[in-house]
Amino acid sequence: MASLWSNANDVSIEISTTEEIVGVTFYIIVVKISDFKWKVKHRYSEFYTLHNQLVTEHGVSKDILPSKKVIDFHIYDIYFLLKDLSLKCFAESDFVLSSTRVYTLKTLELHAINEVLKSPIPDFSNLNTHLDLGPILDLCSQLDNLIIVGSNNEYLQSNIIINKLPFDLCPFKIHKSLYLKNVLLNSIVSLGTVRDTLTTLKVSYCNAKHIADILQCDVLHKTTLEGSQRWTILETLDLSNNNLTEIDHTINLARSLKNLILDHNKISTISDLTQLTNLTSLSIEYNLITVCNDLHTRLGNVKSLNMAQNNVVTTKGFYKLYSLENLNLNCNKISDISELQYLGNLPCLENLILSGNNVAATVDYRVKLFEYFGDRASDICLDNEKPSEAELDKVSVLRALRIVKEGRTPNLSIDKTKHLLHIGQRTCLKIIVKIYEKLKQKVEILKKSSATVDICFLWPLHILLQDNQKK
Amino acid sequence: MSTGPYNYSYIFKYIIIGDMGVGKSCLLHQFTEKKFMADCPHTIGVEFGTRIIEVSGQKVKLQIWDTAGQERFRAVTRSYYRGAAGALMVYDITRRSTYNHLSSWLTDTRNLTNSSTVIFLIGNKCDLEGQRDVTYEEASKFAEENGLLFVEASAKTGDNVEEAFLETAKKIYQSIQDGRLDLNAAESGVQHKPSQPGRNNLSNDQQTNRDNCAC
Repeated sequence: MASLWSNANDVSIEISTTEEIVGVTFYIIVVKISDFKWKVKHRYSEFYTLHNQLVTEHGVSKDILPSKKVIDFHIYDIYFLLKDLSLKCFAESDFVLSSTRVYTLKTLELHAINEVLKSPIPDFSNLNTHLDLGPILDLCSQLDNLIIVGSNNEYLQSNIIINKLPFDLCPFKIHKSLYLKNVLLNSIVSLGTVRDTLTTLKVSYCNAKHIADILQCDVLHKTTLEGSQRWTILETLDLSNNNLTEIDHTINLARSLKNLILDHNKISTISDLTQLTNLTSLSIEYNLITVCNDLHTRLGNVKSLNMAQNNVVTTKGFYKLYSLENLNLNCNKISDISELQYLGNLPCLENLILSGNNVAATVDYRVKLFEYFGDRASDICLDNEKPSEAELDKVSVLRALRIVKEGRTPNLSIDKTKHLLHIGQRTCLKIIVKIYEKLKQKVEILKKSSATVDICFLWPLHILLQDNQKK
Repeated sequence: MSTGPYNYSYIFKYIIIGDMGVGKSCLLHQFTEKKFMADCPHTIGVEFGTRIIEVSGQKVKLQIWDTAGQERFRAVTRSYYRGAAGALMVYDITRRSTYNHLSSWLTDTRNLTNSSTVIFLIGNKCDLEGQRDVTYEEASKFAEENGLLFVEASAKTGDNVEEAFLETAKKIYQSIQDGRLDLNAAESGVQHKPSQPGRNNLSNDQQTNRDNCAC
């Protein structure tokens, strides 16, 4: 026989099947202790009585008993689904509104809300079944951030395809940000007032091919841009993880845009964005950009540009992006150091990321690159690292060499260049001698401290000086 | 749970009704946003707004259902009368027809709400004195005969808008204090928000509903 006392750890209780006897469902409970098991039959009302007793006498939570949902109406029927949601919103609203102010709804739920708002509420004979949408709309109209999640699958055990259910955003008003995830954009009937209230819009995994699919998702004829379709205060637009192939002119519906994020798409060229006068940051990671000619004619005053994980070969097109402060070209196809010289012209550039390119593996890559920046070399943070003292010294030497070789001073600020040209090559030589002496001193000091010093880089300078002295 | 801006002890449900174009949505907007909405689109079905006010030292959240005035939505909007604690019945003082229809609105309200529902008559657009078509006295008399509260207001200037919403709330609160309004009745339009989360009237009701439910 079974003994609960000695087998307390080897007990299982489960309801495996049900049985119908004269129209009454009995749940068959299998109790198993160690190797012994037996069956018990009980009907729902008995569970209910037991539960009530547990609630009153033992303080068990009154929500844990599943209700008598024999045909799952609460899952598939709009009214019963919303009743549950209404209850949930009522219970959670205080907490949500006083903390994160973020709430996630499924497109299915939005659809249900829309349907109910559109139609007369059916008059149930039992007044208690009255559906109150108040708590749902109450919560949703006060949120800052609404997340809407869809799905391309069928809904649980039904033939309802979630993303085919149309919904609109009319009942929802004062959101600051909206995130659509895995939503079929065609199913959005109306955007309501969000065009005038959103500052941030994120649309991801929605398989959008054109920006028009998103910014004009509720418009039938997407070719014309009308004033009423403007997103008046939108500042951040995140369209990452879609199938965008180009930045079409619809983007101009969001004139106030400051940040544009287009990561993980299939964009191959950057189109004209100059109408977006406020745009300061553009991120276009993981796309298919190869050619970028004369970017300044299209990007305007962008301060941060993230073009990591593309196919960029040269920085030639960047040469007049004078407002650029941060540039990320991580993991592109730049292999020749001379393709980077154009960056030297950019007066505001401070952060530059080039790691992951072939060029980053070449000899003296950092020093050569810093040389392009001339006087500003010390301001540049390359691959998250400021130039070291040694690197700066090398840069000075390389610059001096170049002056001597070419008789002019590339990559120097204008007044200095003029100055140097005036006083001529001879004075340049003096400067080189000075630098040489300084370096030699340093090397001596380092030698004294018994550190191993690589002085190879001094050799060309040495030879050059000797040549000149002979002359 | 007892602190923070989202704390309140009661929820009152309001509805706003009246003919098309009398300014129902503008009144709601003026009350919730304190702004006048110049070219307000036609309401489709219903709109929704909330605001927390204070009545006799108690924080009360108003859940306001703004219904569409267009005849074609009448079937939809009728379903929102039920369980309203307050009904704001609006007409336009510059259009007599909107005033003439009041009796049918009143009949609807009386039929679809309960006896303790507070009905407040609002003559909107009182800033357009020059175009007045309905006198104050006439409307005032109508209100008195039917036992309604009455005020002339302007959603544009904001005159008397606050007063109308607040007066209604005061009246409802009085009914609660007097015991005329039963908080536990499903149709009272008033919910008492208890301090303990999770154990409240609403979930109580709904829990039992589900078990009684025939399906």
